[in-house]
Amino acid sequence: MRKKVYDNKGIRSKGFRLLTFAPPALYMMIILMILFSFFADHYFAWSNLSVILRQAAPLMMLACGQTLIILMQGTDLSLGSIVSLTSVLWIWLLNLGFGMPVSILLVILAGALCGLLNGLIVGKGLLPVFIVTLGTQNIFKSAALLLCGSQTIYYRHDLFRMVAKEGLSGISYSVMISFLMVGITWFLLNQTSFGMKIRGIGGNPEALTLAGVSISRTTIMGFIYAGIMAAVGGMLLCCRIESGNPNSGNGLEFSAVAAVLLGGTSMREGRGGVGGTIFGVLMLQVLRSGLTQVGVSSIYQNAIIGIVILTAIILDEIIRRRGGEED
Amino acid sequence: MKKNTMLHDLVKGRYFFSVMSLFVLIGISCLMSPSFLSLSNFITILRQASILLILSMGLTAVVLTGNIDLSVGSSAALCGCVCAQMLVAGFPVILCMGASLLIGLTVGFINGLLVGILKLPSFIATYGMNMVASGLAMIVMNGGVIYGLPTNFTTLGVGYLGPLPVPVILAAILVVCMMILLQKTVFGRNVYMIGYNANAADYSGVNSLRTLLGAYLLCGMTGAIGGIVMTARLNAADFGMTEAYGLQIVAAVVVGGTSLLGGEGGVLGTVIGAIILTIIVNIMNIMGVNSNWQGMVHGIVILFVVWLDVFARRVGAGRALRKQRESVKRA
Amino acid sequence: MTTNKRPLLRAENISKSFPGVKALSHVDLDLYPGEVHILAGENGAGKSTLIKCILGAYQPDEGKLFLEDSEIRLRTPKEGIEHGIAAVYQELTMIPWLDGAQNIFFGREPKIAGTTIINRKKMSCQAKSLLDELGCQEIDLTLPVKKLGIAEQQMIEIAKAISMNPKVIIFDEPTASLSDREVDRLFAQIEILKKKGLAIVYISHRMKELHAVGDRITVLRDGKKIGTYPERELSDDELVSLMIGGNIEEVYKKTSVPGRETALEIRELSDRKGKVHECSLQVRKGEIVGLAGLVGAGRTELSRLIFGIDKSSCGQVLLHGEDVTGKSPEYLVDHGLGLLPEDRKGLGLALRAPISWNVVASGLRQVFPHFFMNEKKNDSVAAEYIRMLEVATPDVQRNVGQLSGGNQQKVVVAKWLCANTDVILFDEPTRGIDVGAKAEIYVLMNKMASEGKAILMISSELSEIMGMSDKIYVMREGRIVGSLERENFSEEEIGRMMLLSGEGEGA
Repeated sequence: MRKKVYDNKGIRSKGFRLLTFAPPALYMMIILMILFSFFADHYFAWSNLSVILRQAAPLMMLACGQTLIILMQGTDLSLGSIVSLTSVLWIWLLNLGFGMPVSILLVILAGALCGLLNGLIVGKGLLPVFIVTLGTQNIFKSAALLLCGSQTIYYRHDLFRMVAKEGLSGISYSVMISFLMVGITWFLLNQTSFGMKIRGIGGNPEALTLAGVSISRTTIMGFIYAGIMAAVGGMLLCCRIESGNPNSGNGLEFSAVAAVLLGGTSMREGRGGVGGTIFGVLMLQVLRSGLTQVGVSSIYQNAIIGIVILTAIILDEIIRRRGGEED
Repeated sequence: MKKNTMLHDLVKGRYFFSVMSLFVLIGISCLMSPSFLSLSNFITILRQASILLILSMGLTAVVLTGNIDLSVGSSAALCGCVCAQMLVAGFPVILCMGASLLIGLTVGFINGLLVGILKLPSFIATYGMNMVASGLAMIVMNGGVIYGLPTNFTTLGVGYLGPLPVPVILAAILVVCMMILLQKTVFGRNVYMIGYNANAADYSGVNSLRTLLGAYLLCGMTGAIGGIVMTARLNAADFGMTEAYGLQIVAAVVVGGTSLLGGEGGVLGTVIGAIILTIIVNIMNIMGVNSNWQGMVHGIVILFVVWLDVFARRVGAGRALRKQRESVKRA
Repeated sequence: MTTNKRPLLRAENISKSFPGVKALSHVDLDLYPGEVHILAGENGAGKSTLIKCILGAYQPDEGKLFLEDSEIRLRTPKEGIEHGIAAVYQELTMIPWLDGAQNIFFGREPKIAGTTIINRKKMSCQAKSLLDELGCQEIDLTLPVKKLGIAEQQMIEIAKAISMNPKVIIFDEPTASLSDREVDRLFAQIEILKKKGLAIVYISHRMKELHAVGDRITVLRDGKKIGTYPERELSDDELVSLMIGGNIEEVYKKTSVPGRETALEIRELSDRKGKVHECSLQVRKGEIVGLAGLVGAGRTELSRLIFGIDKSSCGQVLLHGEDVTGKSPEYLVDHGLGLLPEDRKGLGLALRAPISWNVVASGLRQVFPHFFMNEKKNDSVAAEYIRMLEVATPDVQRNVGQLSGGNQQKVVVAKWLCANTDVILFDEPTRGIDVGAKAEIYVLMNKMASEGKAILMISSELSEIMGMSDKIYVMREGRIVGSLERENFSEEEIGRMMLLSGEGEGA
């Protein structure tokens, strides 16, 4: 009569486990949408939903990059200022007379360089990620301010309007670009050896060492990718506001962290992926757009969004602990 | 005994690098600008440093526990704004300051709970709190700015007691209190022990939750005091008034030689760190450098100092290992 | 017949030291193809260090490795793998949220030619055939390994090792978490590998297994090789005495006589993670009680539960007759309970802090009851205990990290003496400590017991626990399965209780 032993999953509550099945962002998004639909007319109309998708595009890019970094158990706090820097840089380059394709290439290169800087200091210097990216956040922000002399700078081009407003069968190009990038990120994370290494760093770095995989090189590559995604996000944002604003990316990095965490990606064990992040981003955008639609003054929005994000992260942590996902 | 260790710290120990860079910085500043050494500039530096110092005082305790608080800047702004609004509404000064202090303590308490009980990574929890606090400050100010506060309040920021500005005296009192609290009490010792090894502290029966809460409460309190003094100094309140201080507060602590790993460093270092950062800003102003460069300089300084800390540790560890090997071989 | 062949792998004269400990001194090992070579020895005898040197995870201070007669130098485990030396580790190397196939081929995924894109079809196909070969087709390779049972993860770990086409496979306690049926299957697989001509190193604590799979046995003790023997020529008793060595009574001079009063009692204590079930035991004043069991039997978890680090789900803890269930470590320390944790460097001490700080860490509130403290008094208090316990250090300002293992452990003991503790839980008090320092710790423990302190000692070394204890409780799979008084101590009986269900007799 041998008893079942080594039940290391122990006692956990079933209800809480069910809650952890889908990313918390999904539930919150549905609840928020139902809530807003009471106050705003035609909330579920495609015209409204497509606006939400369009506005979410830049944050989506950041969150894709942030997903990689969080899978590696870090958080990149400099992504928002990379957005500011690259968007200002783009307009600046265009104003200097660079052609569109060349300037886009240069901006992406700039994003990659920002990522490289982060990656080198984290990967080779072995410093805590948050302090490194907090430092570079200020460096990039300062560079953006210097580039444009603290002013919003403008450039006229049809491409901006086209990317942000036009599209095929009701889906704007910016949404298409953002989903293409999400697709690429998904592919990278799930179908390539690079993705395996990223998950390995978060899950069990020992295994990487044993397999002879360089942790620092993978870290650097991850940060470069995040930098490139932030640059793409910066350009998408630029298209929407048709200008380069040195403060346009402020706070986006934390929205991205929140989106990733609420999307079910864990800061431990390399669990999760870009699929859940989509819902995280959409949830935040539903909230932001919804507050405006319902008529909440923009003065109140930052505090409300901050509180919702913080509460959501806290709840997520509690649910996960109760559900016994992590000891 | 006490004087000895303090002197030792300054000359040879933890603060060696900070003290050295302070002297080098002063030397360079003198060469670059003759007006740097004037008495009035000296007082200006002290006064500017005093607000930064007050703000980063409590953070020193938090960093000593191996955690961080990124919400100090915006919670200070929130406290300053609340104080200004209440003053304008005609409440007595004491009540206004009391309310601000209470708000600062509340922010610190919530941070402490998030980090201590929920075990959220401190930088995430406090970064979120940073967003919330700045959002609340915006609400308090209704998006606007307040000018012109009662003079009995602004004395706190612009007044003099003898030759010294009031903020400097306030900062000095706070420094002494914090030094006693951290070096001479059981609470302070526990702050250091948690920073050295939080698990070992738990396994020694140290109440780490209470200690952590204490550190965050201190941080909230000094943040509030900093916010009030700053409002008094500016004779105005604006929800973004501490924006420039955001990173400087962390930088002052780190440049002062307090390790982000926790356990090493102290208030004395933060004093030096705050003065160093203030001199950098001061000299940039005197030289007429675009203020947009400041973020970049602070970013580079903080990265360099953190790198130096980790690098020195690694070199030290390598040397210890080599010594060990040699002694084993000889044996 | 194996002796006619040339050895596949030969380790000659391997030595390795760590800070304060000589882990291996001049050990030889030779492995023949088609042979299962058992490494036997107590915990801390140097088995893990030896295999890590063979794998390339450690570089030996002295000695050479030969693979098929040519000398090899391994700087990383990867170089070991390239030479055909693979291992199934005690702690799994799985990446929790990757699936089985991804884990098996981690870092070596089959790719679509010229890209870094993984050829998933090929990968899952190869993984499947590997598992087929091992006879565990039923494992779902598409699930993240975190969702699989430990036994299944273990099988994937073995498949991972085999997928590297090794010549030598090292199994480091692979059965610690397997049931009988799974163990049988593992042995069948080892038999297959043996027939293929691989050389296999096998480490386990279970006597029965050693006889089931072993061809030859090498015994290590205190970092030295005692000898290599054919499996047939060694009985269980002989093996145990080789592993323990010498006369037990000489090292452990018992001086204390247990009192009558019960100092610590726990009643049907269970935890919330399912690792401790309804454990009851008693420790009297002046008594040293041993808690024996295999690694993973729940002993450390029980100690954490008693000390209030983890919360219990049911049961009671009585300290001097007072119910202290669910109290915080702070409260328990103030009422005279102490815990010397197994992980000295991670949990017992703040290595970067001065000795004086560590000594007063627990007793701080007692030494300075009025909130304010002063460094001078702290130093003098610490110095007193350092002198008393004969810790080898010039001063108390030095960081604890600079001391040797034995002296560090004395500082932990000093910490509890300083807190006036009268009930102390010792979790593996002599792990990673030199033989000489071990004896000093034993003397200390005996002295404390004779002063009337109650001691509960967890140890994986049978000789130690039998030598020191007045009474032994045996724990297995989270339960206390029996107890023995000193006059009834016998290795066979304790070993039987520790292993019983693993041997499949629990009817």
